[in-house]
Amino acid sequence: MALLQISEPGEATAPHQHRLAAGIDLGTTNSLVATVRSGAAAVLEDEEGEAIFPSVVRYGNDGVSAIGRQAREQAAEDPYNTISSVKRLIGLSAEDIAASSASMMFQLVETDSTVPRIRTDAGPKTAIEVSADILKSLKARAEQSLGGELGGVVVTVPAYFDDTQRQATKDAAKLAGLNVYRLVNEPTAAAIAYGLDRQETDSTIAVYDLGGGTFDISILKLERGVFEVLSTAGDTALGGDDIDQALVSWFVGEHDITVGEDAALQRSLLDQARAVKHQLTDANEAQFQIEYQDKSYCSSLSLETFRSLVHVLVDRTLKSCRGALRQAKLKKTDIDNVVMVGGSTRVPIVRQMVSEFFDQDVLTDINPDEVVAVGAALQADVLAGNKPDSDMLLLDVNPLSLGIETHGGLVEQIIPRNTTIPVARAQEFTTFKDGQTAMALHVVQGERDLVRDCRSLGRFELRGFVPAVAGQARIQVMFQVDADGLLTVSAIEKISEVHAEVQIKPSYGLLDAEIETMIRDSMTHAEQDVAARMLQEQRVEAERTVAALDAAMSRDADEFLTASEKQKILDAREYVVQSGKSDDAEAIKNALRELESVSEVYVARRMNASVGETMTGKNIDSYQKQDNPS
Amino acid sequence: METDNFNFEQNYFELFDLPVSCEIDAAKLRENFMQMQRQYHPDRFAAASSTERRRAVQIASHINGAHQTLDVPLKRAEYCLQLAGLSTDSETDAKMDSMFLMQQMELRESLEEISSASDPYKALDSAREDIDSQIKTTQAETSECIAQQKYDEARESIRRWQFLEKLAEEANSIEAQLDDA
Repeated sequence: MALLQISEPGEATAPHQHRLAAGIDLGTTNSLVATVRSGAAAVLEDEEGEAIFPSVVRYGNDGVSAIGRQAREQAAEDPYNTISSVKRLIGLSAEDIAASSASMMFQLVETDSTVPRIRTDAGPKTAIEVSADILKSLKARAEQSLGGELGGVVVTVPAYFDDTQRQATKDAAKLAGLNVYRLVNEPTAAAIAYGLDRQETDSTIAVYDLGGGTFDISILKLERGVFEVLSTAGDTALGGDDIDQALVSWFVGEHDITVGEDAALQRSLLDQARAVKHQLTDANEAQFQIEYQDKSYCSSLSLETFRSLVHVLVDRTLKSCRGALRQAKLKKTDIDNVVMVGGSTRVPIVRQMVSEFFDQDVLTDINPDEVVAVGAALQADVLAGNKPDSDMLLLDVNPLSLGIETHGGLVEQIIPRNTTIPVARAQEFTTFKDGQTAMALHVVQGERDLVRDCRSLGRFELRGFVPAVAGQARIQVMFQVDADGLLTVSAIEKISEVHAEVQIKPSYGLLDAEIETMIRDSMTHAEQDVAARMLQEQRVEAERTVAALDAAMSRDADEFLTASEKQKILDAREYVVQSGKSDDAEAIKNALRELESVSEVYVARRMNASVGETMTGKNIDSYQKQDNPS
Repeated sequence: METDNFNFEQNYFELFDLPVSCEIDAAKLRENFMQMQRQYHPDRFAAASSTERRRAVQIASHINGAHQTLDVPLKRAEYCLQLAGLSTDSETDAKMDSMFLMQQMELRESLEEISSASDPYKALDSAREDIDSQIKTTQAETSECIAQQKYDEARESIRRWQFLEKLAEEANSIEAQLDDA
């Protein structure tokens, strides 16, 4: 006779193995990782009790030399090798970056690749690799804290991220050895953290996210488990750092201090500004005080003055809020909940002004730095299957329309924005010439009518169909968008049932056969015409290059190079060293160019060996042919 | 595997357990749609094998596609006709009654005049009202024709409906232009 089985009501009788899952908020300034333990979601801290992990990586000759808080603290010592705000670059082409404000923050290596590389002592790094290094640290923290390997993670992305940026984020996670259950929009994660997905009635939610360096406002519609992003707006150059800067400007103005290039002074001013800002959270007055050149400067900052300084900045965010409402065709009164995200929303005046703008209390109960990671953790827990009884279902929509280029550079929409995903659409094409056996398609993303106003996702060549009279071939192209919003394309020639061979040239993605051909000198700043400075820079550059080369060659020169190739590089190296002793910037530059040119092969082989296995290939894989499901 | 049971051969109405008709129980459609997504959404298979995950994406896409078709009245009517074996391809040549064409031209003219009206938003609202009321009438006609299996007449009526929806879209883009100005 069987013994009675005792189980909790509603609990599955089959033993369920609890999978370790985490939510990761991969932010521009800071990142966090959170998990659900004993039913409650909480962020994970490092040994020193810090949950916030600055998204900063410093590279040395041997790779990552410092990361997180340590890297941020050392940033001033080695600005060129310390990469921060890399999220501003992810999924962008070199031209995109050149056109954005981010161009000032990074030294890009000129390459033939569609994926830009940042110059570091550890070699050129893509934004994907830098993000992967950050994710690796968060993964290690989670696994150490949970005592086991992570089954999977939810990574959050801004709601406005397009296909390329989402794909790049997912690639970074893959490169970090993470299994991504799902990419979730940041504002959606914040709403989940507040349990807004469990409300009975439909609601419209505004998520106000004021981070360190960026501001985002998103309007979401939540209809019984379906999250729809109605609109997003924001300012990529506005954040809490501007509040600190405003305080510094005020103080400097009060005392007539000339800060100039003095990094130490700048630093202590900013530290003091932050301290004052924190004090004013619950005080009416704070002392702004610094010691400088044996003198002590002190001013008392009243809450009133502070308000007037912050007011201007918050007004700029409210302008974006108005824009987002207009785009969503909503009035302020249509908003049911306002969720506050980002450390800067702790400042009472910010809360107050946002609350007044939307004419309601704003949601601030959950730590605004942690709310996105917490929501991601809750979703990760559900996806890991740890809540078998949960009927929580997060349906998302396609954030931007997908279309293809037609005659005259016009876009034909295939999948409109705000279509619930996953979704598949088939479109039939035919040949327009007799005997045609191939066809090219250009896939774009965006809301505009002209191809040139949209973002190019990739070009597809369909080859190998049976030659026939024009208009007779029936090529069905299937566009599949998965639950993460990522597109795959497959094609079939329907009459012959022959799968067309799909060749893809992703516009900004990494290519399988991509070869790093050259690393050129990117130091072409026009304004640097001062010869001395040029010379100094070239010398530093020469030292750096030689050091990087030596480090690399001591490791694997024999693995990648023949004896004669190696000798050539060593000769060029010697030439750099010798010209480095001269006062001729141009000569050093030429020597370096020569060295870079002869080590091209070596660099390419090393890059391929280290990057190749993990980073390339996915674009092709994800476009592999599939049978038409219907 | 859980995903093996899914039947791709069912028509969209069968899929959501609804009778084939232009008039549907919207609440039931919604409820059954959510029920199916709860069962087959890829998130349910986040920790499953890659084969099962891929199948879940296909199934969930199919369910979403079916829902998007039945959820929109015009698409639903077109689908009814398609199930009856008739094409609603707007490129097929068909005669339009002259009365309807006249109305069309008037509506189009009133849309064109909006931007120069003294109160463009008011003009837009009134044009929209016209279009919407005509859509309602056409929708009712279509529905009745299909119920009575008068498919040729239904096709005519759907073609008029398609025209009207295009006008409604134009009205929306005019509004966007007004907002941006």
